Amino acid sequence: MIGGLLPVGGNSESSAQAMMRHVGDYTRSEEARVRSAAFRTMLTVHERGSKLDSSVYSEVCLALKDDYEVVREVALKLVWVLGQTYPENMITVAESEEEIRLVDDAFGKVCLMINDLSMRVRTLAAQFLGTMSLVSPKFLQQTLDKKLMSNMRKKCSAHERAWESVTSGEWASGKKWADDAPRELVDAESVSLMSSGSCGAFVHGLEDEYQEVRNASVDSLCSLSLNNLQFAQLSLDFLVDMFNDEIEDVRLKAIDSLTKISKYTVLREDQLETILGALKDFSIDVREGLHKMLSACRLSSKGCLQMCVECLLDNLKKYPMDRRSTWRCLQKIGQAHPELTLPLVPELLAIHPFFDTPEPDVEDPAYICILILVFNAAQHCPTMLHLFEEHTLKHYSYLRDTMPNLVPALKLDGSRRSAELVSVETGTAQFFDSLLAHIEAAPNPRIQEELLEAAQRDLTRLATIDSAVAGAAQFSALYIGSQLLMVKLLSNRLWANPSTLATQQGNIIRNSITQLLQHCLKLQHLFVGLKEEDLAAVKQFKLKALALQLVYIVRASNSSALALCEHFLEQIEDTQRYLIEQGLQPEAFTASVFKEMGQLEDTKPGPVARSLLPLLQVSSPAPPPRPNIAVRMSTAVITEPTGEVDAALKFTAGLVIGVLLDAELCNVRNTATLRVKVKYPDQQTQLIVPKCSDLRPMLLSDSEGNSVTSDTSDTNFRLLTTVLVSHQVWTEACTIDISLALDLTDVESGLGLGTGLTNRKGTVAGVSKAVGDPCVIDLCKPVKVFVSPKPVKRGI
Amino acid sequence: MPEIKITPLGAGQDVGRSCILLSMGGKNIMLDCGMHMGFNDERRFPDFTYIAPDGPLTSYIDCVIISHFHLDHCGALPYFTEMVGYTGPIYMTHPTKAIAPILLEDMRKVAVERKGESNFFTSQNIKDCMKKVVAVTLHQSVMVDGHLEIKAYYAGHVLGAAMFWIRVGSQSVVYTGDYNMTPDRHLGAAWIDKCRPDLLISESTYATTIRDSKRCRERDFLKKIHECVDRGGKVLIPVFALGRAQELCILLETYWERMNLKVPVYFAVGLTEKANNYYKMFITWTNQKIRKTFVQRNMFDFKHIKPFDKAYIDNPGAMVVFATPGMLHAGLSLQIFKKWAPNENNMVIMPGFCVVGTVGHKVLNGAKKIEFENRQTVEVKMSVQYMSFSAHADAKGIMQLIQYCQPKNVMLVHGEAAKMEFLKEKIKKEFDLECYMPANGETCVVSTSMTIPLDVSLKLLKTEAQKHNSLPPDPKRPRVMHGVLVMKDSSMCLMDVDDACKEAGINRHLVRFTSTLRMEDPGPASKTAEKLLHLIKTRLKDWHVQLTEGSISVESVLVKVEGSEEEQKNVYVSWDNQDEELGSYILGLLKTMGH
Repeated sequence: MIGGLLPVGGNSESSAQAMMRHVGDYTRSEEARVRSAAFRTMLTVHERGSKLDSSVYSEVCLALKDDYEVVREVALKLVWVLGQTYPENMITVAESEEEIRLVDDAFGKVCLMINDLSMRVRTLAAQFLGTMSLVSPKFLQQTLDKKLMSNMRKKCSAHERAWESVTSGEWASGKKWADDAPRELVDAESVSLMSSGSCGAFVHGLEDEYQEVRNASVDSLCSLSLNNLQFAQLSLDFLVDMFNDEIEDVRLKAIDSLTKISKYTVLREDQLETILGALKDFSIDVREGLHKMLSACRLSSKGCLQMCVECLLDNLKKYPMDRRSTWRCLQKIGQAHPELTLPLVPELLAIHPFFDTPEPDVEDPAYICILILVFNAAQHCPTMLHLFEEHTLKHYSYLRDTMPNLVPALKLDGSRRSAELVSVETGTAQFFDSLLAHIEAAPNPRIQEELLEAAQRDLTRLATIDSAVAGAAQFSALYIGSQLLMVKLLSNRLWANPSTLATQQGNIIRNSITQLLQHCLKLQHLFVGLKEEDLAAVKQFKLKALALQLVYIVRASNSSALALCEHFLEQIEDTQRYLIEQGLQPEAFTASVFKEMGQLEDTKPGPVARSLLPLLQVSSPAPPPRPNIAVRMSTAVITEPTGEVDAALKFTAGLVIGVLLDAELCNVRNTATLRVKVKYPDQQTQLIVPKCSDLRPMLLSDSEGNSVTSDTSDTNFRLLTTVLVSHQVWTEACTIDISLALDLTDVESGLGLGTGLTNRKGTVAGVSKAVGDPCVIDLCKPVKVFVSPKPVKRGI
Repeated sequence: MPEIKITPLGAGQDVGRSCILLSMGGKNIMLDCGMHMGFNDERRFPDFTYIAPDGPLTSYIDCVIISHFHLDHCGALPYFTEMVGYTGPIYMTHPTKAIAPILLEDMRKVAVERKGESNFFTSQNIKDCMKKVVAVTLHQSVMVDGHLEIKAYYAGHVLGAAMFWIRVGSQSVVYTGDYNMTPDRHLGAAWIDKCRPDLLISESTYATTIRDSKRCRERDFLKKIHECVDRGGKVLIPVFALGRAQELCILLETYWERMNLKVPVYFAVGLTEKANNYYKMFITWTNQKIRKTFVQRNMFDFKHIKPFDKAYIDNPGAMVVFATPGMLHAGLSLQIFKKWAPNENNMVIMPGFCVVGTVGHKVLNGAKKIEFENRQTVEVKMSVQYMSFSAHADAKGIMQLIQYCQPKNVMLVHGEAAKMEFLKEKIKKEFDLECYMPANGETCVVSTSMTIPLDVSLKLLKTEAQKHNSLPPDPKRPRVMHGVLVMKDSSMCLMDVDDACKEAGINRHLVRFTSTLRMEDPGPASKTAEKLLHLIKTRLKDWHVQLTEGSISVESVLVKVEGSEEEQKNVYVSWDNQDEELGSYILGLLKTMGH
């Protein structure tokens, strides 16, 4: 049967037709598997580009009523495919003479299948509903329609009742026993109990027994709403209902869906109330999803906003860890609803017309919430500024400094601090350029060296001032710093001297080389958005550092350099290939190394080192590459634990304790290398691999305007995990350091082996590492956690 | 014509004491054996004298099937088995078997100890009765005897509720009991395959209702409780011990979990605790969520819901209490109600229907002052809410079930006559099915189509199938099987001709018919034969027609032309008995060709 797949494609039209007819014959076979295979063949043929004839449609529709699940499933797919391929064909409805579009009919058929016996067919039907965007609105709106009746009388659904009470102005009347009492008598003839078409398909789908179907329905509802505004408004009620689903995944999905369509709809007060009810949810995912949703939605009235703010504050009181997400949410709400915020300002800030109210504590998260809301609204509504009191303005400048991304620049008239930051921004890039130009123009090496030192200082400072060029500045600073280190090393002639092996200086040199290598790795892995030239410069510099290391190992130590040499040669090849591919000119040193290595026949460490030695001695620092604004440095900010807790976490020694870690990672390319680094007071260090599922991609919600490009979504993450800490008994509580790091041991395996400085025991989670491992690159400053392992109590 | 006879002894155009007699193919089956809660005299039990005026009923009834544990479906069972004296098999699902005796015992206590009735069945009766029960699992096909087969399907409604498919010979009936087509917090939706029974006997409690989404109701319920608890009020939820109570518990439990609430929730112990244990045990009968959670913990091991103690009534602060009974007519729930009613912070939520005359009914109708028998009055200041959580299929659900199982006839029971009438019309109109709704004691006869089962020898089937499958399937092409019908003893079978001959020890005789036609056609005989061949070929396109030695043969039909070059020629047409049709067709063709 599947053999029918083969002779398709470029065949002449007629033979393909005949083949299809032949396959079509088998769709009436008595064996269910044969029937389903026949339909599947049609599908495959269709997928391969030969269009199915629309005439099979009626036949396929019959197969939807088949006894067997497999057949119905495939037939459903076919109906969908046909509906998508020939949307505009007209077909006549069986009983009446009416003609309708094929896609509408197919849509109706798919809707019917949502009442199917089998769960798999239902799921499939629910999925397909969402993809049929061509269907006409009339049919679409029917899917949410379900006539209610009670004892033959028409009844309003709860949604309609809610809507009525909103429009009639009597809200919260309280429900009586017979509140939903049926009204007019329904004409028995006019009621159709069997849904003929798309009627109520989504109502059924959303009430389905299985979460798979419900999930698919929510998805479909969402994607259809995106295409049809009117439908979006209608489906809102249903999505809001889904917030109450028993399974968390479904709730989350409903929230996500609502976030997506909330741009197109305006929330009513009663709907908002339900949504806000879900804020009390225990699950952090649900709450953060809701925050995101609230920041995207549009509210209809001042009452809504007030309710929303109150609920968010309540929520904050209950779950203090939601601080940041709440702030962001309020920022967006403020931006979106300045005119609704305006009348609320006096109330929110507790401004009294006659009396001075006490100044609130600016560290209070709830108060910060309100300030963020108000300031963001004030950005678009200048009249608000006059309402602020003296202390509010003071708090503004404080917050503007501490949370620049949450508090916008306000045009305060006559204030001391107008937009001075804006002027700086224009200058930094130029300053950066000129700085590097100066270095290049330096007349002699000595001056150049001094200039480089100065430049490194300046750039480091620059990085802290201006976020736009921070990445590039840090990159250049690091590059320059490493160059300087290299120069210093080279100028110190000891490095090639065997006699220094055990001396104090020998140690210094060894450490310097390690540091140099770590700088290289940082340059290579810590930055994203590097251009080819930058990468080439880094690679070449790394080559140089490796060469230095090789020579040092060969000349000044007695350990084996075989592996290292091999790695070095590999790196040479790699770099050479890279340069050729990118069409870049190698630097002087690199070029000479290439040349030298090309001539070298023996690849033993000795000769290689011997030939490298003179090259290193004559090399000069390469100029840093041109600044590239797109460069971003990988950073991490740990928000939880805060490190300010005095009470020690107590646990039984030898067992583990979980420390909640909440961190935001920016510009991290390869999350597989991410580790949580735990350093104990006894200098023991553990690298823990966080679970993949604990990393959640951060959406663009926190983007600071337009400076963050769209590609950040796949390099920015939020790490929400539990760090397991364990230790033997201590006499008193001590602090441990928790930080985030990149472990490049796997990526740079050759290097790790060759340095001979690391003692590798394995790369799996929780393995202790030597402190000075160059392959572990810190991403952030460690946070201190106060812990105290207690001895096991005996005899309970 | 074979028939299926149905006589409802209860639940015919009525709700309560479900008891339906079904007889088909010589078997008599009793579907459910319930009691009516509204009566206290002999009317509460079905009239078993209908089956036989007196004496043992065992010989009249082949088996009894109980769909679920509600008393209006199983309440009369001990009476029927122990006092009327039925000793045959009784079938029910495992959860029903476990829970039904608890309910029966409870009812017995109320009837005998509270109301002081005599002549009621005893605890021992219940135990003895349960010993006769055979438990079945879902989708397990049970042969009651050689001809009677039953199979249970999931029905939702309450834990262990099942629909039963019953087959005798070629006739089959599906009895739904009570069922629910929309899933709730602890149970899934009813499910049945396309079994195409001759008759579907469906309940029709909500024949004229189409319900709104459950979620709105649940949300309202939870919101009300949450608000009340937040302002420090106490919430009383009067429930009956089984069924809805568990659903509400699950609902509240998950909400408490989600919202991380700390307010205590209590459940008045007693009957319920025992029943909860069974709910814990029969996890496979619950819905997806509970079954999935079971991997970590049993949802019925409530974390937040604790047993209630009477001393807690006066405890300060917010709390939620589930208490029995559900209509506030007696017992603990009424006691709590009396204490809490005067405080406007408190709330009572009635999750179900209340019978006229109970305190629950008065409260729901807005009574502000309620007088009790000992002249004591209680002011009702607490807020009163009504939420309907019922688990019957609505009109849409019933239609959906009919669509699922595709019966040939439908019968409605367990509902009010007027409502049934409406649904009956709808079923007739939309499915074009015959629909019945007999009253109690009224016998309803459903005639089914006659089918005669026939054994066909394997060889015959295989050759036919081979032949058929070699061509692409075409529903229009008839499938013909050629064989001999052999009647042996009481069974019939279709056999290959040769085999039949061999078995019977008879030599096979072939009967040939020969007919001679005269026709006038100048020219040699072979020429005429060719002409005929052409004619036959054009008429019988799909057949294999060939000309051998002057005679044309199609299958076993031979057409031979004889005669010299004279005008007159004799055309012999001869055919086998089995090709009679073809032969006479060709003969007719030849006869009429001149015209």
